[in-house]
Amino acid sequence: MRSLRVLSRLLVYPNAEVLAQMGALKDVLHEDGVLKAGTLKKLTVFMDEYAGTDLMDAQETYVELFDRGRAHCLHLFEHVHGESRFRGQAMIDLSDRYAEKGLVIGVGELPDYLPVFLEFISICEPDEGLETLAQAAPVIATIGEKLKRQKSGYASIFKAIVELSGAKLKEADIKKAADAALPNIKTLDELDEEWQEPEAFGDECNTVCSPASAMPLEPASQSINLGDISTIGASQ
Amino acid sequence: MGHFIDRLTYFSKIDGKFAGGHGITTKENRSWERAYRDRWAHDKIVRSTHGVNCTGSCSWKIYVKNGLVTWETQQTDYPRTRPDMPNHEPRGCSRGASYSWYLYSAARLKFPLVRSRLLKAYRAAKQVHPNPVNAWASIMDDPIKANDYKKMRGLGGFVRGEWDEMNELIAAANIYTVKTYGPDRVVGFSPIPAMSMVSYAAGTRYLSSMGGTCLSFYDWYCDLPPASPQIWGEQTDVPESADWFNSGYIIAWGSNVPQTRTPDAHFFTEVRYKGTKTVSVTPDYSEVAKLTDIWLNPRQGTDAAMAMAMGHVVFKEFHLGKKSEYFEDYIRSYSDMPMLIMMEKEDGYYKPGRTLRASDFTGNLKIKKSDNPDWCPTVYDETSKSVVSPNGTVGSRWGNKGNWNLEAKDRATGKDIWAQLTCIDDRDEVLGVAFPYFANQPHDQKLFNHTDHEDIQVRNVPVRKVTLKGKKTAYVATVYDLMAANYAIDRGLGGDNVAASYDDHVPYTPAWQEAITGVDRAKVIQVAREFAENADKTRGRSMVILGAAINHWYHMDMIYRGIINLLMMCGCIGKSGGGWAHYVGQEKLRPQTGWIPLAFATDWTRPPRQMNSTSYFYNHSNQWRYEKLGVDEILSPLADKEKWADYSLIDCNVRSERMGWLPSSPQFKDNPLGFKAKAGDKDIKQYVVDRIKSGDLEFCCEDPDHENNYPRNMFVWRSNILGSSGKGHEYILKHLLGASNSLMSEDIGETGGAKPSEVKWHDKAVEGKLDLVITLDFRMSTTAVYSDIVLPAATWYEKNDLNTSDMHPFIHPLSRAVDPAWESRSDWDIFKGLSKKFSELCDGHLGVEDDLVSVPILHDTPGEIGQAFGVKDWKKGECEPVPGKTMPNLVPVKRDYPNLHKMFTSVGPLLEKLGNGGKGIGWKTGDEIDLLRGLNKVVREEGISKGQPKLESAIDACEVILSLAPETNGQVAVKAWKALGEFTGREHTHLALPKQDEKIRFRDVQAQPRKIISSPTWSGLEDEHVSYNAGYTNVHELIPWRTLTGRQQFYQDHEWMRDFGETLCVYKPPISTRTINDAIKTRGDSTKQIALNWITPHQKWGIHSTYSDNLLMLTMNRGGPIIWISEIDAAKIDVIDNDWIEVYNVNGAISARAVVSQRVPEGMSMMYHAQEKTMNTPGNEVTGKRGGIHNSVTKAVVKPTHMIGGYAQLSWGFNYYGTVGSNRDEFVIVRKVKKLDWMEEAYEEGQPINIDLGNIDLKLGAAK
Repeated sequence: MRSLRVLSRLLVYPNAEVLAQMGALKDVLHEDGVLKAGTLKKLTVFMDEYAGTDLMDAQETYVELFDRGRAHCLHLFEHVHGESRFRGQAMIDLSDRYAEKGLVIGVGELPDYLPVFLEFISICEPDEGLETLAQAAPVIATIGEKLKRQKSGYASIFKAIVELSGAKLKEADIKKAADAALPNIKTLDELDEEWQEPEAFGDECNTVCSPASAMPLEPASQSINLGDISTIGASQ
Repeated sequence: MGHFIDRLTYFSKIDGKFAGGHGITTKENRSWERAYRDRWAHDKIVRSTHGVNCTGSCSWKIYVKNGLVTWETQQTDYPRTRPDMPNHEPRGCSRGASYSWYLYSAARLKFPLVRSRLLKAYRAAKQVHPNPVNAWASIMDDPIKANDYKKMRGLGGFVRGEWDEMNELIAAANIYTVKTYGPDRVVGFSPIPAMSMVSYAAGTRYLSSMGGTCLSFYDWYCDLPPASPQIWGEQTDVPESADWFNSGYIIAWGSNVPQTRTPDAHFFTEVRYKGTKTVSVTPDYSEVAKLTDIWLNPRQGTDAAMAMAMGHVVFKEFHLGKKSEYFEDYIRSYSDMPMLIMMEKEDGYYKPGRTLRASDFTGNLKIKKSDNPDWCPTVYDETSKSVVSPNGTVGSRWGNKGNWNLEAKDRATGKDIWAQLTCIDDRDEVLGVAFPYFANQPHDQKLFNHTDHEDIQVRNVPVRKVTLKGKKTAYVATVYDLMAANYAIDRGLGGDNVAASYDDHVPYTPAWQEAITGVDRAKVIQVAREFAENADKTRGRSMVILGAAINHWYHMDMIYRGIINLLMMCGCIGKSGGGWAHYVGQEKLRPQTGWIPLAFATDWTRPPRQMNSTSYFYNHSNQWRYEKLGVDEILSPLADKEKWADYSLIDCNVRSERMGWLPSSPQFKDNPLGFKAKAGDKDIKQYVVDRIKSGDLEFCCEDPDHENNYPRNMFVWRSNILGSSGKGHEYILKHLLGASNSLMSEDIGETGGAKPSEVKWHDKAVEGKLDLVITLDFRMSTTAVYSDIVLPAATWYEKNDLNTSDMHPFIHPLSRAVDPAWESRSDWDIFKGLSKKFSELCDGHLGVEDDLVSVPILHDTPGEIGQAFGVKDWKKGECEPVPGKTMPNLVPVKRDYPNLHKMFTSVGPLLEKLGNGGKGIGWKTGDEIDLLRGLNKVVREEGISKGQPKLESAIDACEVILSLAPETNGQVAVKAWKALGEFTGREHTHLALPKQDEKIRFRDVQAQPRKIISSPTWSGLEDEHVSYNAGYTNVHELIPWRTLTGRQQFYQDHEWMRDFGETLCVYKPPISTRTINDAIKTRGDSTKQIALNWITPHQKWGIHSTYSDNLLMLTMNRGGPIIWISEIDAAKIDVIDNDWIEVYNVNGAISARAVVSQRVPEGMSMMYHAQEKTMNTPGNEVTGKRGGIHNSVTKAVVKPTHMIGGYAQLSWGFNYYGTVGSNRDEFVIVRKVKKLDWMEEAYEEGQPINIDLGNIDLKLGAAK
């Protein structure tokens, strides 16, 4: 899907080539015709604005938004695994997915970098690709929501990605996830509850032990289920 | 046979159970096990460590899969040391275990960043001036352009940069600065080489070959205990932590062992199972307090009072009471106790003066002129009944070789002597001798108690009368007899101010200390007695672990000397299981002598430019302009006040630099590259001396606000100098950076205070001195936020390097487990790249140039016997300016700028020509350089480096260190001990001969940590029989300490030491910093506020600022800046736990949450250093700016006695001696925050940089 490749290009660090090619990128989106009219319009507005920005100003905005801090970090597992030790394994699993298609990341980037991921999806068979993309959609939508709150035009790219993925997301869930940038714990009891480990040999553990529920820093306990992106690689 | 066919031969039935029913076989789906089985499947495990400023130095396993780091676990393969010792495993803590988080976290610096305004200006300039150096010059020539990006420091505005362009910009700025102002205006700061020595060396090698300045760190961090160089002539040398296990009695004094020495704390616990008693001394109920048998809690900052009282008990019972023969032998042989001190007559009393020297006598006591009789202190020999100068003094060190040892012999005749400790039974007279008392002035904060004793305490001392040159007579007393009087012990000599009982209220009895410290006298007496009794019975196995908590006070030397006196009096120094254990901040760089040529490029040019950071930052961030402490406040009551009347603290520093005591940077007002040409036919040294003498050429320190005289380009690497260690943070922001700041102090121009007499005053100080600030880091630290260019550094799992510590005897590596992520590069590669660009771009600007380096009188060189008697300033006409004697030495150096890169990447020829060495001894290195030619291969390219060993990669650099250092190359160790033997006349090579053929290489330490080889660089041994402990070879090999007397010194006889009342240890209360005053009460609202003492201990959830922005650690803590206060104080200002509070004084302001805890005593506030300004820090109501860091409310205050130089052990050395950045005497105002403001709006053009004091409804800071 070439539109995804366009979106991938729009999310990389601003450079003269992207600015120069903006018209061509727009043409691809129109030719592809997979985005809803409203989404495409908003995206076009952003692209026009982007094309008219001084390159260095655009770069400064990008660094401020994406290179610093975790709120809009474009590395998806930052939002899924955070500080958990599962993150390394998750990245490995994802690179394995790429390797299955005979692909290897040739430049110094990590496999969960959104533009990398989008480029990969754009190469996949549409059905398979979009299914994978849909797994990541909640995370992508959450970043988009945070950008929208910052009144950043970049939000339109995220909206387009989610739309293309075909994922059905509840707006309320996404809003809640965007609110919960940091664990929003109010009382000490809540804190204790959050960190409670399940009994090792209690009622819940009969013959087959279910893996212990994760600690707050690990994915499963986020206040919203961020989708199955954590198993994107391992699902094979 | 019927069953033969029915019976199965091969099969039996599965019954599912085995092992007597304890095991069972099931057939359920086991796919869930993948979760953990996968975890332990990996491509490789690589050994690395964390090059953070922590003495832990723990080796770790790094697990790598598909080129990605997945996690780390602790290594468990340290070699066993000695029989009957617990092993070292496992080492590591929660902080290290969370490190891999940094690699791929959003906090990681991925690309070079540059201030967009700077980059725009630079690109625009290059359109006009294609030559990068000219382009940079055009920006510098236009203050509007320069200020446009400087004022944005700390306010964001970064874009990604390309490596090529960044290298070009930086090199252009460096070349411009070298050419226009001088190479010493390019400066770099990086601390703690031991934690990653090649990375440190990369930057200093680049700077040193350019002639740039390398800044010290140990003194600036205030981790240097000046008491150590004063007493031992040694920077810091301490036992490894395993030696705690050999101890019989341990006091943890201001060291929070389980919290800050996590991987070593087990030795402290294990030794208790052997019956060792442990005592803690901390004002708060700290973690170590919970671990010990006795907890003593003196008021913070008053520890010296308690130490003095313990000394009173020990000296009285064990020395005067003759309870310990061992102690008496020890102090006679290994301390200056028998040394003779001259008494000076004053009105109504005598005061202790300098040591009596051989040259005071006719015939110099037969000491030859070539043996420096001016530098030969004396003792009274009971055998010959005469005054003699013994072996081992500094005079004998630098005189004829072969007698510098601690044998009890007369230096002149070689006859055996018996040095007399006291002349009480043999005295000529008893004199009233005056001792200064400092604790009788009320402190401006009620927290600190005083007593009403007289400031001059006259006590009777037995003396001997001696006849000197010219028939003059003098009274002399031994240090022993002065010590007894100083401790105010009644010896039956009559007179006042002495105590017969511990309950007498006389300084320094246990009863007296109770009034100062608040600790029950009975406990103090008990601990002192037990400590000494154990030391007597075990011959010195009593130990004190002491730390930052007591070293960060202005008068830290008194606290340390008070404690070290106890250890010396009890014969603990140099004994297994005994001695002082100070682990703060230096982390023994074990292969030091192998590293120095690499780090300071002494293989190509000598000497390097090195500078003491405390004086540097005090000067260049203009903190002196706001000084509120007068010299008169800290002078001894016995000093001549007139002599000091015109001097402020900065004046003392200027005098010190001029007299060759402390170093200077920048050095002279003119560019030193121009001297040679201007000198013409004249000798360049003479040319400069003449100009200095005539006043035509100034030292930069005499006019620090002149545009020629301050630093221009600054590199920061492996450091967070602004976020962790910048005392006077807001002063640095304002003056050095020109950045938005919260400084609320008025300078002495505004307050009408007395101006310095040695420094030119400008009504308006410079703001934004630095033209370019470059930081290398792997994370966006507070320093990075304020920099112009941030270069992404490889993490500790992405580079090759070496790591050592003082806590254990192993050397082990950092390894490149994976390639540096994104565009990051190792420090070695970054500076190598810069050197290449520098060499390319200097064409047309710099060629082979003549530089002139000014070098202070250095410790451990023959020059250290420079100024024997009194202080003479050539500027005042008191003597002639003689380089290296009465002023800094001046050394011409050739700089080959076009060949900078070739020099960086090869081992230079000077090592073969001049040899290598350290601490006063030298040896040849030809064999090692040949070895390196084989190991690293040789340079084949034409040019100056052809045929030299290559130095391309970090591993090449490691091999240079390992091959040249005695600690890692047995052959060098034997040479080094032999070289020392020439001085001592004794045979020491037996200490290294068994390991002569051992050579440790980089791949060896990657396989397993290796034990180092004993070397004379250090005073302890690392061998199969004894744990490493400082002073061991002094005691057991009779190698003198590198001091004036060659012994451990209780007494400091330098003129400035006498003037400031520190000849012997005394108690000095905390100073008044006057950063809060009555005016705060007029704040104009009803919010309650309170003044608290400001304490900044090491933390639990980070190592300094590293890990403090790590979400794992933030989650274990409170997730942002916190300040601990007591329940009592919290109640006074209506604060409950977790409330937001603000903290301020004239230095600046902080916003944080309160931790209200019973741990903290009333009157104290504690903010762990260092919490980043980048983490959850809201705005501040007082300043209207974002809250600061722990150093925002501090300011450096320098101490004149730390500026002494040219005097044996009191001579300067890099990170060895000098002014220190103390910060615990500070007070702050604490109040509850009314309205929280996260200040998330963007910067608007024109926002003010400085605080307008007129707009603040409080008038703070007027120095009255």
